[in-house]
Amino acid sequence: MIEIIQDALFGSLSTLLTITMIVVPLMIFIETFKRSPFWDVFCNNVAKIIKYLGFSKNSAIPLAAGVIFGLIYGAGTMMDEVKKGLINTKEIILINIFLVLSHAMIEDTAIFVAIGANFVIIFFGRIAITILFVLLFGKILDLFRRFD
Amino acid sequence: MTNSFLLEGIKVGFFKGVTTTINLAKIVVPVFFVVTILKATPLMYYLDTIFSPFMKYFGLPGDASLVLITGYLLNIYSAVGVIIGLGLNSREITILATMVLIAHSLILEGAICSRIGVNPFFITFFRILTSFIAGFLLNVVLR
Repeated sequence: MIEIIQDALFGSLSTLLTITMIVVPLMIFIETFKRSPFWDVFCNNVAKIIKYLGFSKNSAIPLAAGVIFGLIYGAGTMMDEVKKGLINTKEIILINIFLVLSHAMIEDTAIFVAIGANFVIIFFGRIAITILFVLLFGKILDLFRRFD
Repeated sequence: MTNSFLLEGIKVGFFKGVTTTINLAKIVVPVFFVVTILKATPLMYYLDTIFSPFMKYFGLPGDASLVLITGYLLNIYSAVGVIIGLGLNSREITILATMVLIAHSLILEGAICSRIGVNPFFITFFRILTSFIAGFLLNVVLR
């Protein structure tokens, strides 16, 4: 019994140490990035890419914020744009579908990589399935045409 | 102004990183202990026999259903605790990680979605279904 507890304690502590070594530098990077001039450059590039998914360039900031910082941050940024009247209902639904499947892509992915998951599969696999569903729902919403 | 973002970013980032780790530790360590103890009880055996016919579609053992249940209802951190507690191999961890990353904290994040104005029940159902699809596909693709 004591042996089990000992194993459990060492096992969980060493895992936590690995996670700390990955998460702390990543959070420093993310928070610096958010405040740097590169953030605007990044959002402009995102705007160029997302137009192929049926998004307008107004969706770039909510999508970039959600994918990198998390769902709450992305949702908050989206509400700002919605209040300004820059995003229509169809795009609100598509942004939501994108963000519930793919958010906090750096931090959450890192935690699972630290415990032994394959980075390429959990990162790009998740993005791929997200893009697939966003395209699918975009087509479905266009078909019904009652969201304009 | 130009240099202050670097200093502030490092400060806030370090603080957030440490907070994340502490929050993680507060959940992972107790969950790890509970799972380690559960493994010695018949409860885990029942869980395994009940869920293994379903979990085999994802190439996972029956007791891995505990990872999905805690991940869906609670959060990613508790799922991490269960994963390391169960001692799964890297293929199983990769499949579970993808499934949990797609669908997690469904109650909390469903509430966020309803504040934006999207039906939380639809989103929750959609995420669970997507995570099943992802798990099934990965089980076929990964060898």
